[in-house]
Amino acid sequence: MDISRIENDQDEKLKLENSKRISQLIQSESADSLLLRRWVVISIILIYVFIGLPVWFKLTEIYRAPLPSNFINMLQNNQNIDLKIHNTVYLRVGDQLKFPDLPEATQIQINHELHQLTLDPQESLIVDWNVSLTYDQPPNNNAYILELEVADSEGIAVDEISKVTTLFYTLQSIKNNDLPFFVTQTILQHIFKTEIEMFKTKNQKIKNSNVINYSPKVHLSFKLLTGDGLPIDWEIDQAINEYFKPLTQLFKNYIEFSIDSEIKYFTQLNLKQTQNETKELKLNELSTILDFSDWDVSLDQFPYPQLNFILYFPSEKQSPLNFEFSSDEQVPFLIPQWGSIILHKYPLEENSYIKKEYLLPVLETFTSELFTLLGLPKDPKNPFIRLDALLKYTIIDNLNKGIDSLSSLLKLSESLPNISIPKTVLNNVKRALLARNNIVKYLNEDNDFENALLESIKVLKYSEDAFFDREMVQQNFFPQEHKVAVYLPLLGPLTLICLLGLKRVLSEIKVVNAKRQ
Amino acid sequence: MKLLSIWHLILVLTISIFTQGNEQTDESRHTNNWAVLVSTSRFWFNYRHMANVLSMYRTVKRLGIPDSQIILMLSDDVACNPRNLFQGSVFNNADRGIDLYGDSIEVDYRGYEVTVENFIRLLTDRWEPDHPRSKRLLTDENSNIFIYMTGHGGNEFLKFQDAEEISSWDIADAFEQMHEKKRYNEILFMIDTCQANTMYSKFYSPNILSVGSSELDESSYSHHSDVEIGVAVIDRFTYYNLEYLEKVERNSTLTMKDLFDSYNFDDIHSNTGIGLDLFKRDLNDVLITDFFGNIQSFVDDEVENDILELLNYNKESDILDFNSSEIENEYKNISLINNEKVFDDNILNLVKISNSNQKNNLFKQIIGGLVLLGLSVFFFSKQ
Repeated sequence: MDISRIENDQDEKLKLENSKRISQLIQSESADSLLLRRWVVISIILIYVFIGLPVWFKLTEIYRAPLPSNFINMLQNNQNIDLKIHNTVYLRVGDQLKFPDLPEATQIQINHELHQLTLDPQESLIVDWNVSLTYDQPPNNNAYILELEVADSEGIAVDEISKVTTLFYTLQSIKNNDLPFFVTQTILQHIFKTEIEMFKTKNQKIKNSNVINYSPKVHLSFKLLTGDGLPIDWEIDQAINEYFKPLTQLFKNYIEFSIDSEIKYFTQLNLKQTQNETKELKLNELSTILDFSDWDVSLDQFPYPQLNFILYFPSEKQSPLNFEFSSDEQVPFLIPQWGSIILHKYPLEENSYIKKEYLLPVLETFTSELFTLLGLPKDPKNPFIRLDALLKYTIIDNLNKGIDSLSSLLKLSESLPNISIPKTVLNNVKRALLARNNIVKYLNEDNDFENALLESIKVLKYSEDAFFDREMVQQNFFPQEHKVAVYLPLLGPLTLICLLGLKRVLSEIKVVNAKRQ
Repeated sequence: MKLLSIWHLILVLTISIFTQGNEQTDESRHTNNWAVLVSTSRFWFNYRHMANVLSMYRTVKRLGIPDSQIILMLSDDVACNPRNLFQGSVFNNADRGIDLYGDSIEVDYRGYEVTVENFIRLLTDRWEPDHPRSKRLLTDENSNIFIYMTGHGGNEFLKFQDAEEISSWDIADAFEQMHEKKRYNEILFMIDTCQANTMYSKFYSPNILSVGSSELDESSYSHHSDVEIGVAVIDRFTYYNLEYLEKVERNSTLTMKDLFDSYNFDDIHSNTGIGLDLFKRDLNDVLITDFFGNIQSFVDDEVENDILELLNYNKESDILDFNSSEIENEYKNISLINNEKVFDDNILNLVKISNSNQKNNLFKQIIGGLVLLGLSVFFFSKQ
């Protein structure tokens, strides 16, 4: 009781002293300067509240570039709506015969067949695909040519080394007006069968797990591995120069290959050494027997994917390898997304020198595996038609992947409202969309698949650059709710000074008012 | 007519999109495995955290994940610490049977590189363009990722290096970004820290299986001390995990259920937690090697033996068609890259970089000079 009363007394004393001091101060100052001070305090507070705070709020805001969300959503929901894959087949009729209305008649049938496909959602194509026929001269050596020749019976011959297909017909079939039907069948069921299959909706879900993702550059590494340390050599240089170069030439518009070769010694198999030398190797044990991580063969030397092709000879000690699954002396295997290996049963002798003639079948095997790893279709036999189909599919695939990335970016920006979206992201999005426009132009107007592929690579690259922008990491900014806490060292003192000044002015006003009364 | 067909296409597409969402599978569809192993604490007395992470490193390496697919983050190097009586070794047990540091170890991020920012960058793959490929998580939609973290943590956070912390939300958002960009098939998130089970409580992306060592308000305990090393050598949770995993071979058919069933309170002294709500597959079907191993499959592919023959035949016929010298020139241009060539390119790049650096420096010098001049004018005008 007593203490509190004393405190109260002291409080009142303090208050009295304070007001005394203030009234003294007021008396010592002129009314003008008092008024001036009031204005100063009020204007500072006004600047603080109405200019300072909004500016601070604006300047510390997280920058979020306005992404063209409607357009990207539209593209994502209606994939390839504005794209056309249009092929042209150049007709050549031999034997001095002329069928002036054959292209028109065939076109009607082709259109009908393609329309039939759209009726079944599983069979329908993901892009507007068509083929047209003409008697014009082919513009280059790379065009599809269909030759018509009279023969004793009907038949089709798809050339294996060029894009020329020959359709044999009889005079009877002209009489029955079957020729347009035969041409349609040849085109849709033989020349472009694989291409149509690839574009079918039902085949989009199944992704072949052997195939690497498309990259415009791929490194091929040919390796000779031996379990022993005996000196050996191989004519890989000559073999590649002689046999493999046409392949790199074939792919030059699709993938640029870089090639190296290597010999590695002492690459032992992970076999448990037993007394019984004739232990059988089972297929499902291979993954534990062949240990790539120990051999140090996959190097991340290049900023693009690498495929490895290995010719393996066991060491003297571990041979002969007794394959349970094959009686051959050499067995090739495909390793999904990694490469291929050919296992030999017997070891190499000392100072072996592998001739290029021996390497030809080896390279043939590797080429076949390479085709699988790159996702080339299995038929037709003609590698040019296979590559063409893959190239066209890759354009659409890259495009859809790119749009997918952009729409992921969009979803991300919506689900994380505090993430910053810098200008570079917007620029990359714009570049990707521009490249997409170019694809539409190249495909729909020029039928220029090679340039369309180049642009589709750009779509893929820029959309990934936009998604993986290095600024878009949470640690580069802080959430809105932490803002006040972070800026408290600045805001605290300022606010305190303003409030104390306001309090002082208010108490002055009180004293002056009291005096007047 | 055309308009009609466009609408038709849209209809078909939307139908196909809906039907795509309905598939479900029971066995793992992954084709490659990755591991991210993180120890977040520094200093000698946290020896056990290093041993924890190296236990996992040893296991995944033994079960076949190559070093290029393991991202190892070690915030301190206890193996070469002057207080380590056994230089160059880290042991998980006082009997010192297993040297976890081993003969070949590849640390991707060490010392002060182990930061929250780098960890998030690693998961989301957001780096500057010249970040080395071996230090990136180059996963795709077919990758199973094993993420192991250990350190000192609390309710929904894990401390990094006494300087910063990562929250459950940060990791959850990073996972969502990975999911959005299809950067994983399945994730196993394992964490050994105090109150570990809170760390996975905020995850919301699908196909994540989480395991934690202890509940909320519960500590995670160390197993035992080694008298000669002088500190605790491993945490209980990881110790018993390693003990179980040492029994697993590459072709083992043991499942995650078996591993989880092996946990018990008497051994671990805390209640382990298993986050199943985001994971669709039955644990009885999930092999331990789905996450800890890398089973390389070998496909007996049908081989065509005449592709090169066809192409070589074509080459000859081409020569007949064209001017032969032209063909030869074209062949010379094919890039058969040998190592020298690559090296040359690198040199060129280096020259370019140093050039631009010089330009930058000059620019900076000019700006610096201007600023100095301005300041001195200001100074003298005051006087």
